[in-house]
Amino acid sequence: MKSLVTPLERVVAALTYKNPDRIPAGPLVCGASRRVYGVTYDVWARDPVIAAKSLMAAQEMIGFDGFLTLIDLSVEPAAFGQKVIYPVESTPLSAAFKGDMLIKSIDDYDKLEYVDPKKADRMRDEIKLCEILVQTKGKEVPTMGFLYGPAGTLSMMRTLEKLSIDIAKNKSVVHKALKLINDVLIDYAKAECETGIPAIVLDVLYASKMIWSRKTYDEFEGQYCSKVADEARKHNTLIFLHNCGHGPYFDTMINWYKPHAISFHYVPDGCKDYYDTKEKYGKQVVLIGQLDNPRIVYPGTPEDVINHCREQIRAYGPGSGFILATGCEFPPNASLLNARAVVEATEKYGKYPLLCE
Amino acid sequence: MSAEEILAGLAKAVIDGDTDKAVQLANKVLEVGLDPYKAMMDGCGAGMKVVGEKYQNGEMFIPEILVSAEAMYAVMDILGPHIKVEDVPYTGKVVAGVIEGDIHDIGKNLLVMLLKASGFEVIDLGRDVPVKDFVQKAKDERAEIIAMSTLMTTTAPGMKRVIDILYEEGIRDKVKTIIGGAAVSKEFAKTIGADAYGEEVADGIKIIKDLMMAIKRAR
Repeated sequence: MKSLVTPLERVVAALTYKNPDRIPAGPLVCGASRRVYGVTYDVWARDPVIAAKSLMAAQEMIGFDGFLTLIDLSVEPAAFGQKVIYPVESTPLSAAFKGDMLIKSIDDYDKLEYVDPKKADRMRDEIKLCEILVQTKGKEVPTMGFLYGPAGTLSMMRTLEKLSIDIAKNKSVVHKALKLINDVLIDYAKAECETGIPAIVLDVLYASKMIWSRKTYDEFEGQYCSKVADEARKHNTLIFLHNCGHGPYFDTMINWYKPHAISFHYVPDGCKDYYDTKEKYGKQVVLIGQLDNPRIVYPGTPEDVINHCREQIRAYGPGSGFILATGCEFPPNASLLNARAVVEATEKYGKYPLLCE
Repeated sequence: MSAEEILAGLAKAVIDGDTDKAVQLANKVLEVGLDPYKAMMDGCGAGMKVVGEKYQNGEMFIPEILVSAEAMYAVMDILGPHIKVEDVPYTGKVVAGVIEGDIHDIGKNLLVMLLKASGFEVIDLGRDVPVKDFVQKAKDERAEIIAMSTLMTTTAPGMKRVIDILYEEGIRDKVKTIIGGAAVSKEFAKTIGADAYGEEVADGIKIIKDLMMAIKRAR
């Protein structure tokens, strides 16, 4: 029987630390939705109407509790003119990684120009996608917009490797470019928020101990991207963060962005395990995660996924403030039965009061 | 300047990512007639070992490692042509690359540079490498180990294909395989029949050294 509680009501309850009927399930089905609608990845990624129809069909079939409008991480760089490769059945990627960088040399940093997100290639598709989902399903299913942070965006036009060396040797040109990119991202966030999305997800991957130090992160992303969060707040849009890197710096992220929720794949820097993470951060931010894609969701069976979910529900569920989700986008070519298993696990083990409480 | 001072200086220049100083000391190596291979291993290699440890301990990060690597490669450019092949003790040969369809290579690049600093001969196939090329190169070069990485689950099945081809070619028992990258796991490695999985770069180095020791013991 279909639940009388809508996904929107369920998510709002979790975000306000009230007990929903069950823990919301967000397997972060994005590119995988193309398979429900029956289109190839290259088509899905370039047509916001098809992407919206795919996401809605997938939500109807799988029953997850929110839309995430992540198309891929090349949307923002494409707006600045970075070439993108569209494989038929895999995630689109920046051509920078194949040597075709928009910023080929230090001098090229200066060539970046402001673009209007509402007109820019790919950003306008993301805005349109938010608009369709909010208008069509907004009263029942929450839509979370998506935005890749300025450092991530820049690295997609230069590669992380070269950007990291530039940071060490030519920081002034990097700062100048980041300022310009961030100005565009502020307007991009504004445009996404104006569609009526209740929340926007800022991807701040580089706040991770395997990539940058806290000091580098503060200087080369935090000080900029916090202004994007400020812009979203002006529109009463909730700030969610996503970081699927190893050892995310939760303290740094909370300090810069004051988020309502953090979506994560690995235990935060300074935490031992799920329980320690809940203890240290569970009351400061709503936790979204942290199902392990490479270990369980991608290679496992639905039964493996359900067992994994149960383990996390036991650790994170008590006291609410938790959305069960994959630690990163649901693997685009994984079995959709495993996405359905996440929802089933919340139906079976995630009803409040929790059996484990 | 004594040999010890030159070696210690090279290690420090690599750790500090001071390419100018590293180049100056590399030229000094040639000027005083110090063994260039010893300078590479006991100078730069020792420095990169510290860099690898600091990365694992959270004291160094990707930007700092890359700057260190730049200093090491600058020394290699100067000393490499002066190193005689017969002077180099055999540590092992690894074919490394990012699997077909994926281009995220920073983890693979870190692995390659730390393996080289540890004395391994590494054939770096780069990124988006066709699965057949891993096997062909391992055959051509008589490499003992194939190291593959990917960040995308959509391309991870290519790793199994490499292992299947090793079987088809009848050389599976001669070549060990290790996989790594954010899209894969120990469980996935087991599923596809890979010999090992490295969660982080530092694990990868240690595991490859262990695999190599096992290969040498079996010979």
